[in-house]
Amino acid sequence: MKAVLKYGVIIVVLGVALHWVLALMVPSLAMNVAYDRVSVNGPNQLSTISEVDHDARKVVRPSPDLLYGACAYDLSKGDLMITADVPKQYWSLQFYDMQTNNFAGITNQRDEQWRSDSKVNVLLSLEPKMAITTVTNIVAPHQKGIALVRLSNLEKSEASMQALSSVTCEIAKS
Amino acid sequence: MKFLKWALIVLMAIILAVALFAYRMQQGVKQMSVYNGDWSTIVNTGSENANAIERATIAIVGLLASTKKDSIYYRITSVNGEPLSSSCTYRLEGGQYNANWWSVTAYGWDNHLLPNPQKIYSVNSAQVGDQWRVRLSAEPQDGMWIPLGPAHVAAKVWSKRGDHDFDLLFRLYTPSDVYLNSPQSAPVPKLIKESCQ
Repeated sequence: MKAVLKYGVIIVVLGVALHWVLALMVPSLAMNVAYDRVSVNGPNQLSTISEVDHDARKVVRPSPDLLYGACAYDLSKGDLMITADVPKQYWSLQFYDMQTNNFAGITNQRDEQWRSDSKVNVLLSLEPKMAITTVTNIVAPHQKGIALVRLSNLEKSEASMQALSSVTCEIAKS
Repeated sequence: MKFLKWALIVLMAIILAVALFAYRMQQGVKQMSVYNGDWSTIVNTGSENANAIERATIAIVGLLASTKKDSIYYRITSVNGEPLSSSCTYRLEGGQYNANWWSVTAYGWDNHLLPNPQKIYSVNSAQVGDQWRVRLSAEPQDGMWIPLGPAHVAAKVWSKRGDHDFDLLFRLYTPSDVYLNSPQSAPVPKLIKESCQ
């Protein structure tokens, strides 16, 4: 009886500890899966989803009213430069680290409406860079992560497609 | 023999850990959810302040989600406690909502868009006026219609999870303060069950 109680306590203590380990591991596991899907052709390259229909099964719960551009980045190879022509309609560029933290983002909404109809140049680096007026410098907390562009495609317009095709993601030229 | 005993103990601990994690996740979704009638929305998505369980929950139910200021999602899986069924016809009605734009999209129980030859999956703010009405049904409907897929697709239930055949996701982009401050009472579309086969 004592042995059963002893092993029962061990199982419960170990189980509770392991469930915390699992909770801590899940975000990076999920991000690694997403990272691998986005970087099929290697990191620091843009991958786009320009037509969201029922055959788009790589992404869970895709919005048919959005266009997506994703870049799985790896800053061990250098700083990353993302450029894009920001359209009038909803446009957002969000940065996620490998722990799922949305650590930075720029958009053409709210107090950033001035970005509409302009070009953005974002330099993602591990350390702050010298200020250049035409370049927005974002400091990443870690080497790897995902940059995600979302833009509305409510009217399935050519302008939306052009805005998506204007996005580039590559290692910055030094 | 001793090795087998400890292997069994570790195996049971792993099973307990997975079960406990699944339970905490379910509780996490409930704790992070705010209800607005039959619609629910998860607050905290994309927040750096989330704890380990919340973070794990978000990683599974809302990976790469934006902050609330960027977008808010409401989900509905049942009407008056009855799970949404692809053999029923529903009426979704509403107005314009205070956001840069909004959409309501239907997803199958497998979290993907419902296959239909018309490729109609959603209704959005650019398609409708101040008052609108859309029917959701596997059978063609007059007026605006979101197909719930051909009936034979709905019948593929061998690995179905949950009670509902499909759900709706109401997305608001750049939502106004009423959605940020009072998501439980902010205006949302109304879903009504009309008939079932």
